[in-house]
Amino acid sequence: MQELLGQIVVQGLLVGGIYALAAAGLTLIAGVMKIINIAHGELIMLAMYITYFLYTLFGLDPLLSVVVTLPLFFALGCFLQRFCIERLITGPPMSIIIFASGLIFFAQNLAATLWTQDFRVLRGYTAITFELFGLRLTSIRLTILVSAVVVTVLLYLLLSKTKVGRAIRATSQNVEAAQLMGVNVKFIRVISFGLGVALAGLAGSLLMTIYYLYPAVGTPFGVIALIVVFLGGAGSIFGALIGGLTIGIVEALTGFYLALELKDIAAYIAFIIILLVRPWGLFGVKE
Amino acid sequence: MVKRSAKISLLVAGLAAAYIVPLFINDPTILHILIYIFFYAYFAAAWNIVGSYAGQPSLGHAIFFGIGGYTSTLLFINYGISPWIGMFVGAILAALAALALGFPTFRVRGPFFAFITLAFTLLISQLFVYFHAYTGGASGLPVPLKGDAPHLFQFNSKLPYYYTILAFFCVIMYVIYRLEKSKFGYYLLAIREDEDAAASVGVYVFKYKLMAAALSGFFTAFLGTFYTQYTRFIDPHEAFGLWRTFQPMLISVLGGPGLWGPLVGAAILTPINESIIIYFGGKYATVGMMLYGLAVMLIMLFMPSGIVGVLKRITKYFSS
Repeated sequence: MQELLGQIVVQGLLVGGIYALAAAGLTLIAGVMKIINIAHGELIMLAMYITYFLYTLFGLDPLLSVVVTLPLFFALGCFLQRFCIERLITGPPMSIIIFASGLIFFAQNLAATLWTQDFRVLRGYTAITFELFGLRLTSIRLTILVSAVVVTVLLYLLLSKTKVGRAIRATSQNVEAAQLMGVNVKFIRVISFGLGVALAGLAGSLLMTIYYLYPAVGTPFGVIALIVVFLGGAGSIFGALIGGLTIGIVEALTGFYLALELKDIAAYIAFIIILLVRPWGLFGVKE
Repeated sequence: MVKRSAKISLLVAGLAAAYIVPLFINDPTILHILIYIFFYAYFAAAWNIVGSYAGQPSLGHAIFFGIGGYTSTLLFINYGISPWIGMFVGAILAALAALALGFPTFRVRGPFFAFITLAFTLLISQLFVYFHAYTGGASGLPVPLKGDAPHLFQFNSKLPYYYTILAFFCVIMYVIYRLEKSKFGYYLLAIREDEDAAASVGVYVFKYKLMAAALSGFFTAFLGTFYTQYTRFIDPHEAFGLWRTFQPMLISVLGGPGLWGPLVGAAILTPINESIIIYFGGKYATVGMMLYGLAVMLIMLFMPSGIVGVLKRITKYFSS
């Protein structure tokens, strides 16, 4: 029993790593711009398709395709921010949401039109497992968990140690004050959004190694990422990691002790409780 | 400004046309499109109570739609209760659901609110699949056929469905018209423009948001029953799918704000969408929806006041 519980918690942690990775970019954007990019999951979906076709058409390993998706999605994010979001930021708050809804709709149906509703999957990675302290681990899931931790640490270092990072944090705390201190706020927003979207690209590439792919796959990822961001507190980089792991473990335990079908619902219930009790999240700052 | 009497005669003429014209249409395809124009206009109008007037961009209205459709159908299948009665039960349940959902979700604002309501739609959809013993699960529920049975909300021709949805539409338009003129309506506008300012002058923001949600959910549920009776089928995809979730918002935004925005938006979008589905088959339906998504993005960027806003600007240009 003890061993089984350990195995379940480890499984939960491994799944949680995926959630944390999906949420990292979302929380960065949420922190800096005070908006939530509701099309985040669709960006992950597009990255998954790109990864899939890089492999099937050119034989590029899904893990290596990060070198394509990361810069590509950084550019996409910069473009979206510079030419779309920036125009909407001054308008009514509704306009960004509606724009992003349009993007969700566009992206999902684009994928369905170009690549049909078929389920696609890359085989190979999920079969490799190894044993550690009597626990069975899937190598690729461990890779993703480690990537999530590495991304979190790198983001933290970027935000706390570099000049750009300081400017990003300044912008997220007070736009006017940052502007007065000579921060090019517009540029910082472009960089932040680009980074957030690049992380969606990274997540997409890594997730393609274990998940099956279809046009609507992004929405559940987006929603779980949102739950994680809320749990950790919008803008909290470490919060996203802890939040992701927490949701992963909660899901694994629910799936084991109650019913497998109910594991998604457990995350929602945790979410509702957070909303009611601590709407600014576990590690967020109350406004 | 158009004179009041001119407005009223225009309204009467429009209603008369909406009543008489379908009598001379024999083509079921055109009648089908007319039905869907009022269907989508109603949906957007009901959504507007929360989405436009109170400024809360809900992506949860598919839930109320689904509650309406499922409640009337389940009551009919299990207890033989006519959907005409069942739809009121569904509407009341939807209003209660709106209160229950509004309670946690109205604590957050703007984009966060939109995303959370989307999350709830997915959750409810999963619950309907999970409790398949009661809801028919993923394969859905067909409405038992009773032939031409007006008292059971079943007709053999499309014309009675057309008049039903027209009547529904008139009701929602009257409700919105009264809302625009009421104190409650002004409170909602105040909340949309600036929540904190509204609260500071004594508007109970949370209470009025909840009231708006209940009203909006109540009226959305009727549409769920209508849809289920018209297509004689409901499943989680029809009720809570992506299309249903975004539909009212897209139409409302494309049409533009105000009383007539939903009808304008629906009148332009529905023929395009339905013709794509009818003439090109379901295979190309995604192309149409893709273009919708693109259109919404471009409209937000370049004409945020919607089609009504553009029409207003054109008429202003010619009248000056």
